[in-house]
Amino acid sequence: MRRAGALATVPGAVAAALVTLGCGHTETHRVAFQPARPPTSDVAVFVERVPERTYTEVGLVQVIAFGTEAEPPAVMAGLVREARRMGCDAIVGVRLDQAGGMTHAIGVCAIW
Amino acid sequence: MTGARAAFRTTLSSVGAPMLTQIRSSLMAVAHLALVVATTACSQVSSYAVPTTGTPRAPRVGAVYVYASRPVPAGATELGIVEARGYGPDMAIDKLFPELVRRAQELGGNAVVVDWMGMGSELVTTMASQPSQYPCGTMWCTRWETYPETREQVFVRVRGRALTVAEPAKEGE
Repeated sequence: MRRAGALATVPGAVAAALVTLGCGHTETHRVAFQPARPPTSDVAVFVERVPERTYTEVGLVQVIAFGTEAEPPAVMAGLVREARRMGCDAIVGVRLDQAGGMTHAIGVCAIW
Repeated sequence: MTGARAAFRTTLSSVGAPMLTQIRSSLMAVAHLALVVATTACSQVSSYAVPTTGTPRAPRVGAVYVYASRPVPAGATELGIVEARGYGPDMAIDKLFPELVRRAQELGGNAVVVDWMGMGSELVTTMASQPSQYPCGTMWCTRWETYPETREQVFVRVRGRALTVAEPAKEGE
């Protein structure tokens, strides 16, 4: 009985591990219109309005998250993180969508 | 419990082994077919270019100016509507955007305005098949049953317009 009990805990442990690890993943993609730039520390986000100051579009940035990672705040944070890496000062025209267990965020990388 | 399980195994292996082998090979064939379909059919980018001018222009090559959030410069001529849509692993913008640019060039444009980009979904009904076993005489036979299957298909779409710009605006303007 003890052995049977020990064996019974194996599927439970596997399930727990899956839950802990999470059945989801996140993809990040980008398109650069200009050569690579050094990373920035602060990125402004513009959803509907556009920056009042003059800016240049330098690329597109996209995050697609699946399953347990498809939480909108995490996806938005991922978009900002990728924009920082890309050297953007702002992300303009940000759009956030959810469908089919996925969350998708996309925006235009802009520099001042 | 162990004895009962062993007896069940013995019964299966002595009486039903040919049938199990047949079922296993059928299932392997189905799995193989599903894998082939998944790897070939689930990865795709579709796109179109619709001219909106009376006289179509010759396709262009070279640089294409992008207006993803900025207003179109004065003096630009609109040539048509372009769209790229990707499913599954091809929802990546680095796959869709080059396709959008290619479509704009196809219409003779040297600039593209991005009007909309985002994710959407649609319900797609396809015919699916699965094998079922039935007794025929002294053995089991396999038949395929076909049925309609509706599922939500998610896509990323980038839509815009192809333009010619007489004098492209300098960066920052």
